[in-house]
Amino acid sequence: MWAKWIAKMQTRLFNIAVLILLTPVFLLVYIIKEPIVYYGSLNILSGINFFIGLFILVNFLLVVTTMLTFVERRLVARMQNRIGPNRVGPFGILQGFADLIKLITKEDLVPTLANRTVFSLAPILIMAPVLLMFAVIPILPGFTIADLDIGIFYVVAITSLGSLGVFAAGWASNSKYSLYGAVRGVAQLVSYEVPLVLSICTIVLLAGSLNLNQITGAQEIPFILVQPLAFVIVLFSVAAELNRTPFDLNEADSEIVAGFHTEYSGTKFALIYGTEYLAAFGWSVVIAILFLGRLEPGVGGFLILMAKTSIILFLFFWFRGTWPRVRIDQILAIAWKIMFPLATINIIVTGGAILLVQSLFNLKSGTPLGLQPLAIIAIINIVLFVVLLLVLPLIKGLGRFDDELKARGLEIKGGN
Amino acid sequence: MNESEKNSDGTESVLLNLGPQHPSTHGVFRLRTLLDGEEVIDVEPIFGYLHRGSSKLAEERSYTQVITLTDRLDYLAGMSNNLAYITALEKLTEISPPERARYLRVIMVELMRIASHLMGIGFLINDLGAWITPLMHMFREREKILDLFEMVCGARITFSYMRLGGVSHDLPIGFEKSINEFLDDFENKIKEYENLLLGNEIILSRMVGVAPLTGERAINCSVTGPNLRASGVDWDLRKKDPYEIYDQIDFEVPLGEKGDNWDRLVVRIEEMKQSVRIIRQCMYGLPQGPYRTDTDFFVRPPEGEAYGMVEAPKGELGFYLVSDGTIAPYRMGIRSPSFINLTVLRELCVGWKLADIIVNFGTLDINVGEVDR
Repeated sequence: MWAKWIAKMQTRLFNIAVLILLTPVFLLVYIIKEPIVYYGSLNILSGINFFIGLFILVNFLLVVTTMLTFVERRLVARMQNRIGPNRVGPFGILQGFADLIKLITKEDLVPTLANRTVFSLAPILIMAPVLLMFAVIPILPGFTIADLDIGIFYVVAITSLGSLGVFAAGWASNSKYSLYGAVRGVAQLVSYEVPLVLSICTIVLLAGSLNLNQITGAQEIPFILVQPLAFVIVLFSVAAELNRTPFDLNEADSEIVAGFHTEYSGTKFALIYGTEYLAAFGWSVVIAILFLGRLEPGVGGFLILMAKTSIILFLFFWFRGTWPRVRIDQILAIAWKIMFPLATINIIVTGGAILLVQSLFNLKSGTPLGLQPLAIIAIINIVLFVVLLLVLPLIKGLGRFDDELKARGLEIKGGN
Repeated sequence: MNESEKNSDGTESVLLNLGPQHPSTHGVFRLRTLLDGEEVIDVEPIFGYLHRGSSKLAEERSYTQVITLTDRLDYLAGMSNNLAYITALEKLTEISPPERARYLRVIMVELMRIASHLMGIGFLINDLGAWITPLMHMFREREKILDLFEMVCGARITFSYMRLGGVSHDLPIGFEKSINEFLDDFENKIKEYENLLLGNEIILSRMVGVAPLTGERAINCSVTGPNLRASGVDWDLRKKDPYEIYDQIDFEVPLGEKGDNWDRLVVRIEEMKQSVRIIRQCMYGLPQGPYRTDTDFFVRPPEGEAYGMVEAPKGELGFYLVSDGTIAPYRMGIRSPSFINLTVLRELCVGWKLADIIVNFGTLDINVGEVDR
């Protein structure tokens, strides 16, 4: 009886501990944003309003996360000829909340041989960077918790901290499956940072600023048209960052059970599982802001942003519903042998194009590009994209299966 | 197999137990694997977690009752197991079924082959990491086949349809229409699977050239079924030692070339097409007449022994029966293809990556119910 009571209390204490540990995280955001308020930026949140805004944001994110689990399950169920969860609430939309309540009220298990401290800290280490990422994301023009001038740099930097949590979780579990997941995760996250950052650099070149507000403001033409190649690279790099299919190697369920979170259950698992969707949401917003045009003011603008985000999210869910997984050596080969050179070519061509239009239109470096210069860059880049699409399969070693399959033939041979 | 053995570069290898509780071991199956990082040094299959002693149980039951045991061997291909046992029993008792029963048997066995291959391919792609989408699509077709079986004999998994000297039920009214609808639909569905699977770059990169098995090596390891034919060996009992009415039917035996994972996948898809062909011919030529001969419920075969074998979906399934003249077999031996195909598992996996173990294991398409018996 006592053991049960202690176990129950442990769960409660852990939940409280999570909240206490997350508080400094919020304070950190407050400190980061403080000088900007001082310089009198557009930021309308200050003082107590900051905490109210934060409260609303975090709760909004929690609801979004819970809903996303439901949305993914329903969408993928459609692709799989199933109905999906439809019991809890109208159309089953409360399924995510039911799951969440179930997970939070479960007993908090720590494996006997696990490193207790690191094991408990790891879910927080995984979740905190993703929450912090939302500090700089503008939901309306100029409406940010912290309007940082190094916005996109901050996003990339803070999310790469997540790999630390993944490794901590895998190592502290004292399970071989977890360790494999952790090692794979770190290798993969570190590799995909490079093409991701290189592709984002082209956006920064075009916008002339790292600030997310100014990047959206600079999009006379949505950057997806100006930078189609960068969009594709960013999309796949982010899929790898988020451990989504086809790059979900560190939680490959058919190989290493659940990867780095094999041993997790209850609240801690809820944190890790929720973070997956939270990160997917966060990155989708970032991609929408970077590539899919300007932010509009007002409630309508917010809804438009959410619609753009949903398109990107749907792509991720679609990948998961249809694609198998690549192998560890292949995933690193894709990062270093295909994506990295492509991103490099892209950044060189974009840089050249920007120099070209600057001399054509007599623009000073640092001033935002107008509609016509952007259109010229867009044409150059779309041509590059199409040429690469046509040329890449011709390179020997990339389209290697075509010859092999042709030689083998799919029709039946032999047999009497 | 020792964890503390040092590798050539001075690092230690990892001993990883895949199973018996593991998402992709197709039942309760255990693989002790020795890994150097991601690379596989050694694989040792350990089985027996699903052992039910079918051979021993058969000695306590009458010949008719043993049919129910065979349903539970390879639970994805109950009809084929029934037929293999009945083939042996009919050799022993020298009772032969009427012509109509032979046709019905072939129809059911070929439907079962489609269902079994669907599951094999579905779970294989699931092991590749496609989040159960292909599996659910293939379950959809398998459901229709199971519905057909339900129409015929009332059961969906454990049929006990084949009986000594015939089958348990004749075709119900409306079966012909249902099966034709299914076959027309299924031919389109196979095209859909080919579009979905065979052009996918990720599936290609994971399967083409991975874990090849030469024909010679496959023969030496007694590999049978689609795995053997994927290695380019033209061996199919339906052609080489025709049973029932296979000698009157026109069909081809699809062959692979290199015996890699890709060939094992494609051969299964092609075999499903051929099965559709066989069923169409059988439905067309189905003769009228009795569907079984009258036999005693407690049949007493003469003293002696018999070995009956059929080409089951997973390979050559054989039953060896010894009779001492009583109502129960004196001894029953089972040659299960799943068990013997596992012989090559080690050499398929060694040298490849951890993720490949699962795929190689999936392409062998074993069923643990049949491995452990």
